[in-house]
Amino acid sequence: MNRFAVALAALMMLGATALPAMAGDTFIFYEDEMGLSSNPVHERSMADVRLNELVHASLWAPNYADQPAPVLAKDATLDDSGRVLTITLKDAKWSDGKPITAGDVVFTLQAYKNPESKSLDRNRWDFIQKAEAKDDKTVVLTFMRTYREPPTSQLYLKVLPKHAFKDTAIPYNHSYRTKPVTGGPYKVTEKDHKNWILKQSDSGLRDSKLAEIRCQEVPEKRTQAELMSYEYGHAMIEVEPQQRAELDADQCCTLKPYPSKSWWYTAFNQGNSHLASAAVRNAMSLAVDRQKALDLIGEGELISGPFTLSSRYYNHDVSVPTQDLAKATSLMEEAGYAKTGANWTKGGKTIDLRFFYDEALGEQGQTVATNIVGQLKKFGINVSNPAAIGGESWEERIMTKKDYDLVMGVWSFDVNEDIGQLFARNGVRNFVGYADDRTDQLLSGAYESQDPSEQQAYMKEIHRRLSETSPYVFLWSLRNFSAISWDIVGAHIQAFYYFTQFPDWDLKKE
Amino acid sequence: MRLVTSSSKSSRLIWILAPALLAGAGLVLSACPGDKKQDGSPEPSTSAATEGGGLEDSWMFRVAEAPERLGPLEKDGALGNAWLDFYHNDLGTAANAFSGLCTPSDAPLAARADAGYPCIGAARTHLEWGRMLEGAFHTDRVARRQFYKHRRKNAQDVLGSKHQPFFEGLNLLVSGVPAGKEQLATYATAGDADPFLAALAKRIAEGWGSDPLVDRIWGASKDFAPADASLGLDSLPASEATESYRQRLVVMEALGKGDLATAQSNLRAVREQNADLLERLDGDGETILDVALFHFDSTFLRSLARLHALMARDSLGGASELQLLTAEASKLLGQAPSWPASVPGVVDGLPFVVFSSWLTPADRLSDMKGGSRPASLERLGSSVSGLLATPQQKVADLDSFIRLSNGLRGQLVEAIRGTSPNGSQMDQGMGLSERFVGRLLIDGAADLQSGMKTRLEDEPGADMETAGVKARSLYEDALDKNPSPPSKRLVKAGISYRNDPPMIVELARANLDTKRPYYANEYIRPLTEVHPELLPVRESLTALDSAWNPMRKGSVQKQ
Repeated sequence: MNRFAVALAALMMLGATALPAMAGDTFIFYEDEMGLSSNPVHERSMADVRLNELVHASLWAPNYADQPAPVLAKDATLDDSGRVLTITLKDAKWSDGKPITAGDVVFTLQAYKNPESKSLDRNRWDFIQKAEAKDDKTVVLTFMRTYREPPTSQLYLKVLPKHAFKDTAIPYNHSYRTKPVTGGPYKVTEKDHKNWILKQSDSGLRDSKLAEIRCQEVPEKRTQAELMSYEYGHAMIEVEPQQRAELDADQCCTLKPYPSKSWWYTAFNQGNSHLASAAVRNAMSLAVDRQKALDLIGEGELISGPFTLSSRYYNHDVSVPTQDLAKATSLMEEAGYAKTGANWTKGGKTIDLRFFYDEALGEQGQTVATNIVGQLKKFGINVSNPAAIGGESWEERIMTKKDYDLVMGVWSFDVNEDIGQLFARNGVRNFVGYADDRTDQLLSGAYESQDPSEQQAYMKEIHRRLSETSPYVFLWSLRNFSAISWDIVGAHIQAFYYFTQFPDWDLKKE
Repeated sequence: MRLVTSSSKSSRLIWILAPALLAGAGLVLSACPGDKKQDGSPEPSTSAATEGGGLEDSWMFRVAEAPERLGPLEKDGALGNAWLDFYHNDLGTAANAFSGLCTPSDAPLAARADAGYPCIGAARTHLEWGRMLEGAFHTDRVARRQFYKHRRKNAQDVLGSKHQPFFEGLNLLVSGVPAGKEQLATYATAGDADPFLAALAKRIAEGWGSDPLVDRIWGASKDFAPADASLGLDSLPASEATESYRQRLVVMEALGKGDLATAQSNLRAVREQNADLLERLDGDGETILDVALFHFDSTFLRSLARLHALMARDSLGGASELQLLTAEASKLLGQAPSWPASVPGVVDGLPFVVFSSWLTPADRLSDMKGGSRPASLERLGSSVSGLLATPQQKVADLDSFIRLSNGLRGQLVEAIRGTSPNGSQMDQGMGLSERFVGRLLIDGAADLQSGMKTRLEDEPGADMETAGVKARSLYEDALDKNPSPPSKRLVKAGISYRNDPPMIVELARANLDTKRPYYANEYIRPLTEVHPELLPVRESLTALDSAWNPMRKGSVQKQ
């Protein structure tokens, strides 16, 4: 099949809504896996975050220089105690025409914090002790600690319309998930299994230039690149190294650094009796030649802990484990395992593990997962062939039911690089069941400290501790680029807040 | 895919290009352009730039037009390899190779062709290295200035530091803030000061403005200190905690006097990863781990830049026809450069600019001299409407500037294609047109930075959010997104034939200027793989990032 035929076939798969990019004022971008919820309380992936930036307005959001700029907030005054912030709201309205009020802000915080909403972001708002609506336009926040300046960079709160809900306990499957009332620059007009279609909305906050946005799910990166090359799309969120060379040489688009703080991992479910042993986890970690796996998908940087190499918290004194089968063997023996034939056994039983990987990782994920499984099998662990799992199944099977043994995925972080969610005993994303007193103690110290050097020291020590206890095999971080069509002017992308400046994006007028 | 792997290194530059470009993955899509437009944008409104010394007046065009012009650089063996290393911006390897081949003399330019211009190669390598270090000095200086400022501003929240006044005082002095002297004087008499640092603080505070060596190292003095000048390091009280700093100071002292040999011999003792002082901080309450401040005197990086300037100058042997490079060395040394009245044209002066992003020797002279606008934009902008847009116009419509630049690149591609059957291959193999457009984008960024207030110093530049962000964006556009240098070491560092170390450091600084220390480190930290002398910069940027972005509960998402 020639390239044009491949692209056409992909378009047919996307359905009738997939039109060439030149059609009117419609901006088209591709996601590997589509956002599943337009309810910010239930963001569970970066695709969700990107979608919600387009349809929701927040109190503050990063400006072009990544500094907090007011969006819904008009002004804010911190009282002398440093604990009470009074926020006045701008005049703005929801997509159904009703005004955005202080009550909506208070409701949103309550919804996040309500345990029944099961928001994975609920801890982000722990610093707010109380939220009150003084009148329609005035919100008063009381903080847990004192501040010298309004903590606006912590108030990137996407606000929900109170009138769209019965109470603050919002189930994941609430209809708002796909039919939101929005306060941002766009509103949702259509959603099917492969597309979100958004149309301009006049909230009175910030005018957007493009009339319509189509977010399309195209799982194959190669197909995304083909579609970009034939100028059917305007943005490809993340370009893999294999396509980077092609798109760089092509004339369709420009590559822009998308500096996300993200890293790959393979996690051990410590609910599995074998994997509850740190010695076994360490042995398996040492049995994997990370570089060999990485070389299969292009360049990246190996990591020894839960941060990117440029992170303020990365501990450069902790070296990346190199494959050491002798040491791995010794650890297995110390843990009471014996080699029976090709496999490690304990009490005559082999170590049988099920391996999953995030479907959103596409071909790259499959390639790496297959390689890691192969390496572990060779070491003597009976690992299943890797199975892709994505979307809601990921959430249900991996995160909620914890029905897996090994799983490979990628975490993306905002500026806070809050790994406490992953490794604290009660962390909302601690789906591996990791429980370590030393880690908890260090995390508490880091959260409580106000001294940047002390925080660094705590986090670097956590890095060391995690490399010793191996809740994950920390793999690598990749340098990410987005492809943006030359037809787009004013494009500016930001780490984690990809579409924050989208209202200024426009199609080039010939 | 660019050029060759180290295992297939050859001195025949041109003819090793052809196989590489045929194998280039980058050609997969461009090989069948179909009905696609060129460069994704309309051509500039005039083609005058291709006539009368516009695009043709660039080394990129001139070597494609007559590949034999590269002949002098294609010597068999070490010389050819040295130029190849220089092409790949592998500065350490190139410097070593050139140093064994260069015998400094006052020979005229033309007489150096037979030997393959090794001394020009050596000088250019050291100048590039020096420019990188000068940029790193400012990046580190500003990051530390902001970090210390944050600590002072939030004194109630941070753990006390005994030694901040010494290092902050120095930082302020080299930032041109005289108040730094008072901090040093205070530190010199503090009861809990480190004895070595206290004595040095006294020496600097007392010598500031009068002592030629102190003024040369930390001040703005243009002259080398006399040969018998001394910081008296041997007589200062020894302190184990500051041993690394003392070793650096020995090098700085020698360079302050222009004594290259002593500086080089003592440089080996410097432990690049060590702080000048690693200060243990004590908290009020119970602490469960050590907390340390990584203090570093950024001035050392400026001294290292001067070391490379001296090495460049020595390579040039005072040759009058190489005055352009000698003057650049003087500028890097902080001395008054004696710029030549004129420089050769691009054909005769090819060794001055080949494999750089400067288009012509005259452009290089103008930019280094400090013309009001970047030379490439001024020259090409005289015939291409819009290219010489003011910084304010660029802020308002950066896309137009980028489109014009890409349009000119398209014209250069066509012009090169017309030179010979191999012209197109040569362009893609050597990245000639990519290097060309990179220059325009870098110049666009430099134009914004010099014409508006983008720099972070004590406060952010007033135009940080507009011109600062756009300048950063232009540097990002100029960056080689798909570098494929011949060694994994260079890959790790992010260095390629287009991503030269000074440009990478400029990109880092542009990120720092726009208050993004993490992203600044995304460029500095990889560079330390090849340039470990930048390790203290990595530390200053992480410290500042930690100060500006304290640990909080935040958002984590599945990618």
